[in-house]
Amino acid sequence: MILDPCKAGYTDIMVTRDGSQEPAVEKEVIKGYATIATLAIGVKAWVEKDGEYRQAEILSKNMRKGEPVFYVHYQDFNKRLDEWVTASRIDLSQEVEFPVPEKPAPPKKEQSYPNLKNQKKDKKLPRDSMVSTPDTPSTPVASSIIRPLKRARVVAEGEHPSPSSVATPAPDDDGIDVVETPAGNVVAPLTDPSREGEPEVFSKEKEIEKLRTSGSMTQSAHEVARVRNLSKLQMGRYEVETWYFSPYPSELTECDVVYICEFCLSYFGEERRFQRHRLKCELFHPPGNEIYRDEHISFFEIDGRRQRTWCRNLCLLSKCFLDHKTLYYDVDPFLFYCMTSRDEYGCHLLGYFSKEKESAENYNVACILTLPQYQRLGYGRLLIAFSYELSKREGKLGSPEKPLSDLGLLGYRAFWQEVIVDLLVEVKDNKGEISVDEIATRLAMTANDVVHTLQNLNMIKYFKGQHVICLTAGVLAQREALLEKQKVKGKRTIDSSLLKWKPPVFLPAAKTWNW
Amino acid sequence: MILQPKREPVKQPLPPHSPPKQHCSRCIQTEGKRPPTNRSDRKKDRQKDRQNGRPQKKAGPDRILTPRTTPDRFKPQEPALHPSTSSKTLDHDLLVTVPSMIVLLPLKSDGFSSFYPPANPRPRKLSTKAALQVIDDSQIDVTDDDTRHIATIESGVERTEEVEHHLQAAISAANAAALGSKVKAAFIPTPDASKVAANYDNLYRKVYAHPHSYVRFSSTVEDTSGSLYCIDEEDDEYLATFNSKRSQGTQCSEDKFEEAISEYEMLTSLKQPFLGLSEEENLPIHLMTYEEMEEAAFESDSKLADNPWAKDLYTWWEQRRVKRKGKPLMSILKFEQGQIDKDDGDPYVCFRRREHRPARKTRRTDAQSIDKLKRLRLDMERVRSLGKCLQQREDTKKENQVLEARVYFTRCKLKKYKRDFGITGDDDDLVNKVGRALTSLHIYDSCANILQPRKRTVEQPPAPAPKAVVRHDFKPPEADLVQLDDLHKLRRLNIEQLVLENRKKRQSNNAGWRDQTVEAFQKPLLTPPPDKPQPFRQVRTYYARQLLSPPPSASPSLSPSSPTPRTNGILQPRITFQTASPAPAKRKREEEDESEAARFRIRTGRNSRIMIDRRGMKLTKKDAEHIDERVLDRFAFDHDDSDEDQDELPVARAYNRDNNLLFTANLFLQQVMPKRHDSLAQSLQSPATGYPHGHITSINGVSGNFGSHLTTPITPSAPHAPHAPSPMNHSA
Repeated sequence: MILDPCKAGYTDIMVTRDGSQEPAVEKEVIKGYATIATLAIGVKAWVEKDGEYRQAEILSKNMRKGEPVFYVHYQDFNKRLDEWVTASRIDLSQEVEFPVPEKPAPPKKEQSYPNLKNQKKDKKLPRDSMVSTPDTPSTPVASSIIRPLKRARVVAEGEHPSPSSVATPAPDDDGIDVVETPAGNVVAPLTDPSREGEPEVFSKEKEIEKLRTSGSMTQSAHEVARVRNLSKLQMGRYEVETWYFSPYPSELTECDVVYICEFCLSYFGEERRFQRHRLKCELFHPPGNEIYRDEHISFFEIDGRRQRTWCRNLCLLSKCFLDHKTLYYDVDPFLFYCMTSRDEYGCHLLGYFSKEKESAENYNVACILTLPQYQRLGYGRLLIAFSYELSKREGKLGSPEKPLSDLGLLGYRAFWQEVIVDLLVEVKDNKGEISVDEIATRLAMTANDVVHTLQNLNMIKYFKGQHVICLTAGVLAQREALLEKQKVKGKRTIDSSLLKWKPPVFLPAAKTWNW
Repeated sequence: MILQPKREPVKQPLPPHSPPKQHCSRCIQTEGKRPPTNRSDRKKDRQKDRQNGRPQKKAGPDRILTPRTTPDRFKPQEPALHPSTSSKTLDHDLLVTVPSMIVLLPLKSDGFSSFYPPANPRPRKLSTKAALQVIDDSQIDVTDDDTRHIATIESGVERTEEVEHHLQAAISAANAAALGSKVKAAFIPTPDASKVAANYDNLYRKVYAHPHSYVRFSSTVEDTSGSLYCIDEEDDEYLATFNSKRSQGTQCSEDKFEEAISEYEMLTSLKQPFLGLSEEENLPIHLMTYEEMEEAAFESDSKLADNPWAKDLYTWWEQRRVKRKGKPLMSILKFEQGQIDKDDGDPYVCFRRREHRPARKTRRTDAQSIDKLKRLRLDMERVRSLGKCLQQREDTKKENQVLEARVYFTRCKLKKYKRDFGITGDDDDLVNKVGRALTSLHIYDSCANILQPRKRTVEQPPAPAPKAVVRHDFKPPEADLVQLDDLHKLRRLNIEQLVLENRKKRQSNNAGWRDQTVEAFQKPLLTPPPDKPQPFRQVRTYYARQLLSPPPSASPSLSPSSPTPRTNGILQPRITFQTASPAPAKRKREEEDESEAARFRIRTGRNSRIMIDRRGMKLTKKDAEHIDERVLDRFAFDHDDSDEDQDELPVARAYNRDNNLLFTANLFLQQVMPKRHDSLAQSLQSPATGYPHGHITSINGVSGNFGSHLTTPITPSAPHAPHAPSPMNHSA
């Protein structure tokens, strides 16, 4: 179960981008037949996936054993399913879509990263501006009043941002990438129409500025390398395929397997080195204080500032499975809560969530991840429950940082549904009414999340001039089924009496000095 | 009436707590001319009505009214609709005019608005503060449902991802399940993670035991991973050849190899942080030479110098590092390198430092910082000097040990010689007697220093050597250590004993005295305490300006033989005037009578007057002739209250006996009443003349208020005797 954190404030903007993006791309599409030789980066072809052909965009191209291989992203599939395919899986009997016309017919590209970048820069700029201009007026951004100032400053400092920094941005141009620059798109028309041509420059600067000031782990989309760079990790007992790009030392990308020490999370390209390391490594659990322990699991609290190496290793690892995580800035302003299971080998990391030491938006989770080898075992629910347990102890209402990943959304929705319905059933049996705020307070959730859940389950009804919460038959049946399942399989819960934890206090000086 | 049961769960229209009786009476009384009441009153009234079994049509309006009371949005509209009528009259209007409408009212609460067209039927916003009824499907009419007005809340997933196929499948499956249909839950496919590595048990050991208490841990990865460099296969090969040239004992272990390489890597990253970062291909790589390495190692406390193989391994390390174009042998993360533009675009650059927010600078914070720095510096210096002292102490200790050892061995030699040559005696030399005595003395002294730190300077010989060396009697080394606690105890005991002794002394000195000073600071009572009168007793009088403690007998300066009063005719501020005769506490009457001593008692009269009664003041006839008449007058009433039957004139004989009166006084009478002084002096010299003297101490500030039989006022009665009669033999 995985969620990605990012900055909030995206939401309002995303609406407009989305609507406008799709038609814009479609307009520019050129269709035609292609050969293997003309299949270039940016081309959307039909690729066989699980027995059926899907449209997929070619993100990279390489030669392996004399055969060309293509790295493709399937349309409407998550990026984690992107993969290298041989030419035989591409259906050339169907028309493919070539990217924008002003781009010269793409010559053979190297897949190496810098080249990829350079090649993109020419086409990217005009496209982006076209996309952004029409949207912007419609975007209501209440919170962007301050932004113009910031932007202006950034521009002034950067002198001539356009030529130099435009060269750097995103590796490729498709809908997804363009979408990731919301702030700039919104701001440009409001403040300085003349700059509209370079919105992405601003957005990038702003994105980084936002990162710096807010302490959140948002990834600026331009930095994302879209091609997964590691293929397999050996971690503890398991071999795990990676999902997304992670900035491990680039030399490791050449290795078939990257060895991760289960306890210190150090990474090694060579097996011999890893064996040597294992002989020396004296760590048996996450290097912090244990704050929770029950029969099965233990939680450890790790301060990013005190355990920099370990936390960096953890972030590198989790970036392999989290799309929207960014490693742009260091780990100092975060605390990491790591869930482990114990045996004679040590405490095996099952998953973790990170949390800002001080969240401006009252997020109680920044990134949250159950390691893939332990997914779908109920650990994600435990992690979420634990994060809310901490919020209860703090006396705050918490919510995960946005955006959520697909898996994150499902995980959170399931958890929210379970706890809210449980509470409502109890309420119905007792006094019979409860306000949204009270639900939120009792569960340490934000009212927004409560309404979202109720609405999503179609539980809010308007009846006789009043809003009521309706425990629908479907919801109750789901609850019954869950209880039944838990009876059989056993239920993993967090027992708050076993949590030995006080909210850590940080002096103002700590904030000034990088935490 | 049909509507009533259905609505009730929603509205709770009736307060359940209203006492019905009261309502009935009130209801009847006020019917028809009810004063305007608030809403709850009306509700109560309605309830009353029902309980009273009112006619059907009158019960009607409350059903009409109930919707009015519940949705808040109707409230502001009421005045507009009925500007002229109060809400009260409205009730009655409805009650009277539209009873027939009741049946037609729709189920919806909007029913009321149907009466008044301007009402807005749009449902209000969902408030998070309002309590919401929790019901289930059976309680709700689904056709009624309308929640389109509630804004949909974002899922929190990026729009582009929200449309993804698998997510949508999962969401719709979940939604379907929530609606009650049986759908197989959809899962989002993820890449494979199920393969198990075969070599797990070779790599990980089963040695971990989780501690009983919650783990607390602060070591870092660097602390717990040994040397950071790890051998790879290339190194293995090299190490094999490296060791093959060496004999068994001098072969380099893998650990030592790693240690040396780690040191080289560490020193290089320290001294040449930018090595290998250049993008240019064929730049020559300048590594530190071994000599430079050694120097750097010396500066940075590196273990390099301790590693005997380090020098030989340098060439191998250098060779590998050059081959890697100066990059570290183990791949490391790419950190920012100061080239902002390039760094930003490079996805491999991660964990950038965050510039810290500049602290607001004010004069106050400046001053604070300076203070802090100063304090820090002071602390540091103190630490340094402490360290120095510590070192000094340890050095001295060490020296001491050496000397002790030398003494010991010399003694051994001596013993041997003594045995060899058959010398007996002087065995004391072999024992550390002196040393031991000295040590305990030292300790005692140092304790004394602690107790009286001012008296001695802290200068001390260095701490004595540990006892273990000195002892030859097999007692525990602390055996003759004097404990500070014991010293304290001893001291306290001494003090207590002293106090006890002094108290005893004092008591014995005060025997026969009545201490009037005990309550000296209490206000005089207006009425005398009803205490029984003191027994008459013989008295010795001490006139003293000083407090009588220490008792005259104890103090040499006050002793009768003391020459002080007479030394030089100068006035002494001190009056010493004593009479002394121990008054036996109890005497038989007969004895009392026989004894011719004058006896006195002191009484406190009304208004705290102090009266002194005397007895046994007898003047011999012979004496009486010599005495002034006026003086004689004073004896006139002496017998009034006396229970003794004595017709004779009072005789002063006993009174003036030497052993009854000791009289050494220095007074300022000289100046005040020189004449009297002379006469007094005279009178003192002749034993026949004399003044009766009451024992007068200044009592509670009461003076001059003497009773009828008061003998003498203070002033005249204190005779001056510069040349007083030679001190008397003190009878005591």
